Amino acid sequence: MVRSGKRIERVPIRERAWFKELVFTLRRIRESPLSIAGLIIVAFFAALAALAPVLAPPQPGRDPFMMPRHGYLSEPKPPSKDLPFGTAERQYDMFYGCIWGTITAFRVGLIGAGGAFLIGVTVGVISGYIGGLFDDVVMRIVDIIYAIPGLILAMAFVVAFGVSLDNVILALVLVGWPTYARLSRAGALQIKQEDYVEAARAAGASSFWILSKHILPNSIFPVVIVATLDMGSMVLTAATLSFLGLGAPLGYSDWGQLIAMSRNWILGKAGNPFAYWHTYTIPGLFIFTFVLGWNLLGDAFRDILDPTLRRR
Amino acid sequence: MGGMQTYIARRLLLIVPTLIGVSILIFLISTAFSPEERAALYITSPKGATAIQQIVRKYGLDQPVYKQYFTWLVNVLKGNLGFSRSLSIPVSRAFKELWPISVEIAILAGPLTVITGVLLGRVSAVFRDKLPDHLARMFAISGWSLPTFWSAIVLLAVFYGALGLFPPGRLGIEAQTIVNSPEWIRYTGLYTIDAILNWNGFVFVDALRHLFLPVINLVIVGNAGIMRVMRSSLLEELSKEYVMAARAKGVPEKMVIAKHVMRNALIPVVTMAGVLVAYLMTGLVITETVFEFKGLGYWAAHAATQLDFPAVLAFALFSGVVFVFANLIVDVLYAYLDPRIRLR
Repeated sequence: MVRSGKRIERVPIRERAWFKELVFTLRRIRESPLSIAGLIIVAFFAALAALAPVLAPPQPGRDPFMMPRHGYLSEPKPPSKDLPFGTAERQYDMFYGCIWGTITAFRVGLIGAGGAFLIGVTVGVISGYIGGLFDDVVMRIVDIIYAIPGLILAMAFVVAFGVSLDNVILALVLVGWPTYARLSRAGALQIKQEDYVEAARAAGASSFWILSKHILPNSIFPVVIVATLDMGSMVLTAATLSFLGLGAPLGYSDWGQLIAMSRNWILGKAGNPFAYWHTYTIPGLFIFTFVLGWNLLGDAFRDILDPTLRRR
Repeated sequence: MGGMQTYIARRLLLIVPTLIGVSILIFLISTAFSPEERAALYITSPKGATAIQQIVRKYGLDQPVYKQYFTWLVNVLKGNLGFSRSLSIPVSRAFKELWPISVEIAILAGPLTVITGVLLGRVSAVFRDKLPDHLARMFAISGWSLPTFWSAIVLLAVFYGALGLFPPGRLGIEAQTIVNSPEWIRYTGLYTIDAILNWNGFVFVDALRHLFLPVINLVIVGNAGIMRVMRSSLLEELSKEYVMAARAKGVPEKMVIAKHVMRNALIPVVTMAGVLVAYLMTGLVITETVFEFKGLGYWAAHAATQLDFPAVLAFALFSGVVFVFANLIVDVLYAYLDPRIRLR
C-alpha cells in the first residue's frame, strides 16, 4: 500500500495544490503594503539576532546571554559614544542586552509557538479524526484551559514549576496548545468526510496513513499561519512575565527584564524628569516593534487566507 | 420566552463540568509543591504556621491525590482558600478587602474600552480605505502590539514624572487622611462612589486623578480588539440588501448607519465582552503593579514573585470562575439579541 501510494503521487512540485497556494499567498503578500512592512520588521529582527555576536561581541569564556556590566553604581548612565544605548540600573549594558534580547525573543517565540503547535496539531488532528470519547475528553480539557485567562494561568504555572525562562516557555506551550488543537480538529473533521479520504479508507489505508498523508497536509496550512501570528503574543506574554520578575534570571539579556530594571528610574531627577528616558524607552521600543512586525504580518495573512475574501 | 428559559438552563448546566475542570486544573498545579508547602493552602491564621505537620495529617496531604482533591474542594467551597504569605492575611480576607480597588478601575475601563472601540470601528468602516480608516487601523494594531506594562511606564513618566498631573497610588496623603478619619463612612470601598455618598468633592476629584492613568492605559491597549470586530461586522452589514433598499428609498446615509446598521453590527461586539473581561483581569495585574494601585492584580503579581502560591492559585481560580460566568452572561445576552441562537 505504502509503495504503490508513493508511485501514484509523483506529481511535479509546481503542479501540487499546496505549492500553488503558497505562490498565490506570496503574490498577495507582495501586493499588501502592511504585510511588507511587517516582513521588513521581522527580517530586521532576524538579522539583528543573527548578527548579535558581531554587533555586541560577548566576552570570551562568559555566557553570551549575560549582559556585561560597566561598573557597580546603581544609577543608569545615558547613551554615549561607547555605550550607544547607555546602561541600565547597576550598569548593565543596554545595547548588549537589547541585541541579545532579540535572540531571547526569537527563542521564546519559536519554541513557545512551535511547541504549542506540535502538541496542539497532534492532539487536534487525532481528536477530530477518531472522535468519540477521546475527542470529548480533549475538547473538555481545551475548554478548561480556555476558561482561565492566559497570562494568569501562565503565572500560576511558572510559580508552580519555578521561576526560569525555560519554565516561562513551558507555561506558554501549556497555555497555547488548545488554540491549535481546536483549529486542526476543525480541519480534520471537515477533511475526513471528503471523498478521497473515504476512497483511501475503502482501499484499505491505515488510520496512520490517512492522518499523515491526507488529513494533516490538507488541514495544516491555516494552523501554520496562526502559529506565525502567535509569535507576537507569545513574546508579549513572556516579556510581561519577565517584567513581573517571573522570567529570566537577573542580568540575562531580556527586554522585559530591562524594562523591569527601569522601574526605579521612571520619574527622572529633580529638574530633569526624563533623565533616564533610555532605560524604559529603548527596550520598550524593541518589544513593541517586534510584536508589531508579527502582528502586521498576521493581520495581512488573515485577510489573504480568509477563504471568503481571498480570491476577490 | 420559554425557549429563552430552557436555553439559560442548558447553559447553566454546561458550565458545571467546566468549573469542576478548572478546580481540578488548579489543584493539579498545586501538587507541584510538597505537602509541607501545600499546608499553606489550609492555614487560616499566622498561628497555623507553627503546626504544619498537624495540618499535613489533618488534611491528608500525604494521602492519594484524588482524596486530597476532595478535601481541598470542600475547603474552597467553604470559602477557605489558605493563607497569603505576601500579605500575612488569609486569602479570603484579601479578596474581601481588595476587590473594590480593582473593580473601581474595571467599571471605568470596561465601558470606556467598548465605547471607544465601537466609535473607532465605526469611523474605520464608514471611511473604508480612506485616511480615517488607515489611521484607526494603525492605532488599533499599535495598541494590540503595545506591552501594557510599557505603556503604563511611559504614561507615568510623562503625566506624573514630567507634568505632575496624575500621581500613582489610590489617593494622595490629604485625601487618605480624610478617608481614614472616623467621620468617613465606608459604603462600598470604591472611593469615587463613597466620596459622592459622603458628599466630599475633594476626595472624589483626588480618586479620579489617581484612576485616570490606569484606566487610560487599559483602554488604549484594549479597544483595539473591539475596534477590529466592530469594523468587520459593520462592513458586513453595510453590504447587505436591506441597506441598499434603505439607501434606494432615499434614507440619508447617517440614518442608514445610526438606525439600520449599527443595531445589527453591534451584536458581534457583545460576544467580545467575554474576551474583554479576560483582558481586563490580566491588564489589571500589570496596570495595578506599575501604578502601585494595590488591588487584586497588584496582590497577584507580588504574590507570584514571592512564590506565595495560595494567593496565585486562588487568583487564577477566581479569574477562571469570573471568566466562565462572564461568558455565560454573554451567551445569554447574545441569545436574547439574536433569537436564532437559542433554537439550536
